Formats: sequence, structure tokens, C-alpha cells
Amino acid sequence: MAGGGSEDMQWCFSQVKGAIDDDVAEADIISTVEFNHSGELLATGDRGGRVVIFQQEVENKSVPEYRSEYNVYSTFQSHEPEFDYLKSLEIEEKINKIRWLPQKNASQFLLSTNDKTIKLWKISERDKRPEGYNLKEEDGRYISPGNVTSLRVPVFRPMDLMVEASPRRVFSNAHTYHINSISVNSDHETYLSADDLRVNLWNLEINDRSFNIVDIKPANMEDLTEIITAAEFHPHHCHTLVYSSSKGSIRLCDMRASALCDQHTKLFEEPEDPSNRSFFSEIISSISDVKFSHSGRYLMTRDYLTVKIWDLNMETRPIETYQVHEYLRNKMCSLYENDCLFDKFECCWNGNDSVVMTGSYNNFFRMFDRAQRRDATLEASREHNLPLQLLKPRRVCTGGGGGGGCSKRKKDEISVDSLDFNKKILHTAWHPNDNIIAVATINNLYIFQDKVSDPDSADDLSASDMMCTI
Amino acid sequence: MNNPAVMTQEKMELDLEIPNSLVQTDGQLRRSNSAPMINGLSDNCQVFQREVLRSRRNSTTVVNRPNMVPSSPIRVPSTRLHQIKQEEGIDVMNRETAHEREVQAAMQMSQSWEESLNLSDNDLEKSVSSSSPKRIDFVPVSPAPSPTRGIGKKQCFSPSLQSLVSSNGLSPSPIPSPTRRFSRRSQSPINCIRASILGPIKRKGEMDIESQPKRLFQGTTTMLSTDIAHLLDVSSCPSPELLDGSLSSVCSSTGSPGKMEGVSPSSSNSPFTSLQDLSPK
Repeated sequence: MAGGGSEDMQWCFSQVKGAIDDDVAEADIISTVEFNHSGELLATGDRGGRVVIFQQEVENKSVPEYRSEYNVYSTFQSHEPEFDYLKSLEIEEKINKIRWLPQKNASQFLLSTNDKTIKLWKISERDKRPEGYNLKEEDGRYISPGNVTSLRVPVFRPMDLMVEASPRRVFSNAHTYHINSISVNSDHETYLSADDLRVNLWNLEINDRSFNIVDIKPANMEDLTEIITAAEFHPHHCHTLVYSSSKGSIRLCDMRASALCDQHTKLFEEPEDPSNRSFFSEIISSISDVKFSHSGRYLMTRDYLTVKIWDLNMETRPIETYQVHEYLRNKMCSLYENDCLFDKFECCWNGNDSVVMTGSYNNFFRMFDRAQRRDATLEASREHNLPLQLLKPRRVCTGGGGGGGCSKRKKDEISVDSLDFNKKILHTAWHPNDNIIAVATINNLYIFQDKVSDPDSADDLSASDMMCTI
Repeated sequence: MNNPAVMTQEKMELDLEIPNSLVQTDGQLRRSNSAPMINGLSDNCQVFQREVLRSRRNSTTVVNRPNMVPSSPIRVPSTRLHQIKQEEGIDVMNRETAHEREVQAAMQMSQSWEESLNLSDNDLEKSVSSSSPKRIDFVPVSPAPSPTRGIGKKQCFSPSLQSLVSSNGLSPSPIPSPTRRFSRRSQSPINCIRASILGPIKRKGEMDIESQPKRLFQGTTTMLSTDIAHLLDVSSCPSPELLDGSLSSVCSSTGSPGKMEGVSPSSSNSPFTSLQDLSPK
């Protein structure tokens, strides 16, 4: 539906990161994507426990539509695989979430977490190094003191920029179950970590203890009916947090009310539509992601088929519901068989909360313009990757009959049965201040930007940034 | 699909939340009323991979697929919720027994798979007599984190060189580059030993120590001896002393990353002390 008038946003390709070959190593699968607060840095985590940070190079200011190019700035091994000897279980090193801390000095800080351990990393630059030691050669070999005839004072000399990543804190041994979320508080001093049954509050400076603020584990495990799937702090109120459940409800807790927030302050739940009830209702109602709007007024949740926008002042039902891929409702049996029904899609807001975005299958991703009431389906593919090439909106056609129901067989249409369910976009991120989006396919990271409507600037396009391999 | 029988079963499964198929892994609990107890053996090597992979939890996808009930009309929703309940609900003894049965069945399956692949008579006789699989597809356990990778170790990257460098900016460090492919993890015998030896020995620190220890100890003694025999053949480990060495090092290390929270020193020591009694064997 998008791609029409001038007020619609048009997206064009900017960059793609990652290997080209189709044989995807398990460790290279991207598991999280996150911009920092300024948007200058973009971090990705993968199943191999590595974090790669891209930095935006602000060049070519004279060419306005060519404003963003992200290049590898730092990479480090955040988590290693571990072994729980007591339970005889492997602890995966897959990075579940990365969250940036607001920048306070020259260094950047981020939190990264796997299933069990959260780490605070300091990313700092070094562009000088001391030279002229008396007892050490430049390559590190030691000089014997007897050979020293004169003394000199070492001086700092410029060197190639080096980016250091050092672990400053390790927050471990606080979660029995698998951590699914971390969220930095607006007070910049604390953060929360949530697993399937508990939410813990940490101080960034103290790593040997945490407070448990939500515990939904029942006394008798047979009574357990739902688990926590995501949690987040309010962007402005440091006492407010929300957590979502596998049954499709969101609970808002106010930490001023009590130390333990097992009793929610608000419960956001939409009554189920009885006509849609099926064997899979509970599975598809499970919320996979929850995100506050930047304004703090709204809450977005993603379940399997929809994106819902909630007003914090109204608990009874969402104010907006967007269908991501309703055509899958009749395919749920096969999606259950191939486990796709359990995929956890994330969602994100744009900088001014007017557009939301989420991923789908076949490397499609969806955007919903809340103000204009328009939506678009775009594709992240290797085929249309000329610099600044416009993304054409895609359409999935349903309907029976021979030929897949796409009567006209337009080039942009694809039938539901032709969708590739192995190509799923689970992680997306939107630049906080600009119309730049990062979309992660299984092992590639695509960066798209919106087309600046300036008809005069068509030259000075360098083709060197088509594909960058890490 | 939406017929009353289905809905009833769905209701039953959602309410009771003890999946029928999962019960089958444990011969001591209730029998499934829907399908015969096949005990999960099939010719499909893929099944074996799944069983051993059970130890590698992935909370984002379905685990523990009930592929042992081929005639079940509806697959039980094996969500994270069910996985947690199963871990917490079944008591420790039965869970360990069930896990041991799975590993045994998997090894037997692998052995029979190998035998069926052998064409010559010589090999067949040899394999039958030695009763040890020629190759075990254990999920290789990655080595424990290297001590140099602990907290405080900087990792330096040069954007201009687009590669990792050592912290003094000179030669590249041994830290692998991000293009490294993890196609196959380390398969050193030590790691295999660590995974499998600890299989039958695993303890849950919070269990009821007062009533259980003797029974559990005897149970695992039996399993341990046969398993050591199996694993020694498999991983061609030179001697049992190596095992004991690794065992005692596991017992005594307090800074190991595998140490879990909630295990008070007193409760964790007693199971391990009984293990150390075993080592001079």
C-alpha cells in the first residue's frame, strides 16, 4: 500500500553486512540488534557469543541522501559457552539482548546477556601509545639493564585508532531460568534482568547482589500457567516497569508500591475473540516483545500474528492492532510442525513514535504508519542491492484455486505457499533520531534509509559500500 | 481439526500439563494411555541427535519434542512453560534415571546404527564382541572458558585494519576473528569425558539430602562403573586415573563457572564427598 504519494516514506538500500554464502554457521546467526542512544553506534550479538559494533561515519554531508554508512568499529567475544555441572546442561553463549547505557564520558558502555550472565562492557578508544621505554624495545623485548647507557622519558605518540572492549562487571548467578530481557532504568544507576519466572533489579556498580522484584513462581509448580517473556523499564519514570507473559497479558508494576511487585499495578489484557479460538490460541497469544514508546505514553506488544499498541491509561484493550501476517492463521498446523509458531519476533518504534516496525517470514518486514494508517511490506534480500535502490513494497496473496491465488501474478506478489519460513526477520532496530533502520536476517544485517526527496543530487555515488563482509 | 475430541484432548493437555509423551521417558511413572511404550528407539539418526542435544537448552525454540509417540494424533505443545514444569516437577531421582535411560538408549542406537552400516563380517563380529560404538556423536562440550578470558581481559580491535589486535597495538592477538566459523566444536576426549561422566553423577544441590544420599549413591555406583567402561572405550581415554583427576578437580574447584546459585556450600559438599570415596576405585 505504501510507495505511492509524496508523504509516504520510501526506503532504499544502504548497506548489508555479513557473509554471502548460504551455508550459515550456527555461530553467525544474529540474535540481537540495538542502536545506541545517539544512533551513532549499532551493536549486534550473535549465537557465537560475539558482539560487533558498527559506527556511523558522517561523511558526505554535501550529498544529503548519503548520510549514513556504518562500518565495523569494534568486535569482541562477550560470552563463552559454559557448562552447568550440577544440572549437566550447557549454557549457551548466544547473546540474547544488548542494551546501551547513556553516554556519560568518552567511553561507551553496554550490557550484554546470555541465558545466565549479564556483562557490562566498556568500549573505549585509544589513539596514543607510550613509546620510548628504557627497558623495553618497541616490539616488547626486554633490554637488559646493563645495555642501557642513557635514560629517556617515554612519550605518547599517536597511533592507529584502537577500540578496546573490556568487561567491567559480570552479573552472574542470579537467574535459575533463562534471561530473556534486560532494561536500563532512566535513573542510569539500575537495570533489570528478567527470566522466565523472575525479574531482578541490579545496581550497575554492584555485581554481587541483586533484588528480586517480581517472582511469579508458584509454590506448587503444577500451578504454573504462564511465564514472563519480556520486561522493560519506563523511559522516564524510574519506578515503573512492565513485563509480558506467555498468555498475552502485560503487567505494569510500580516499585514505589512495595518492594516485591508480585501484585501488579495495572494489567493490560484483551479479552479473547471466541470466534478465533483454536488449539493454538494460547501459543500465538504469547507476547514475544514489549516496548515503551519514546514518549512513555504507549506500549507496543508483539505476539505471533499482530502488533498491538496500548495506551497506559487504558487496560481493557489496545488502542491499535496491526495484522502482521494474518494469512498465516490458516497455516498454523504446519507452522507448529516446523516450530515456526514459537518464533519470537521483536518490534520497534521510530524516533517520534509515529511508525512501528516488525519482522516476518521470507525476509519480509512490516512497517505500520500510525498517523497515516498505512502499512508496508518490504523485503531484505540480496537481489536488490544497488546503492540507494528503492525498496519496492511486496505483497502476499492468499486465496485458493490453482496458481496460488495470485491471479495477475505481478512481480511483487508472492503466494503464501511460496514463502520461505527459514528466512525470518526476528530482530529489527530503528535509529533514535533518523530514518535509518537495521534489519537482521538470519546472518546478514541490512541497513536501509529513507529516501530524501531531493531530485538534484544523483551523482557522487560511490559503489564501494555495496557489500561489506565482516 | 476442530472436532470435539480434539478440543477435549486439548483441554486435558492444557489443564493437566503433564504431556503424555514425556511420561514415556520415565518408566516408573504413569503409562501413557494413548500409545504403546516404544521407548523412543527408531532408525532415524536425527532422533539420536535430538536426544543428546537435549542437554543444550534453547529457550527460544521447542525442546524435547515428543517424537517417541508416532501414533499420537496431536503433538503436545512443548513450550518453555512445559519444559520448566518438567524440570521442576519430576523429582530428581526419576529425572536422573530418565536422563540416564535416554543416554543409554542413544548410545545403543548409535551402536546399532554403526553395526548396520558395517558390511564385512569381520567388523560385525568385532563390533558385536566389543560392544562399543565406533563413533559417538556426542554434542561436543565446548571447553571451559580459558582463564585468560575472564574479567579484566581487554579485547582490542583496530577499525583501520579491521582486525583484532593485541592490547599494545602491535601484533594480532590469539582471539579469533569474527569470521571464524563454528562448524565443529572441540571434541577432545577431556570434554567428552566431562560431559558424560557428569551425566550420571549430576546432583541438584537443593535436593533433600537427609533421605536420599545413600540410595542415590548406590544407584549411581552401578551406573558409573558401566558408563566408565563405555566412555573409556569411546573416547579412548588412557586410564581411569584421568577420570578421577578430572573428577576431583571438579569437586575442589570453587571458582568454576559452572557453579550455580542457591547451592550452599554445606549441601553441595556432601554429594561430592561421596564421589571422592569412589575415586580410588
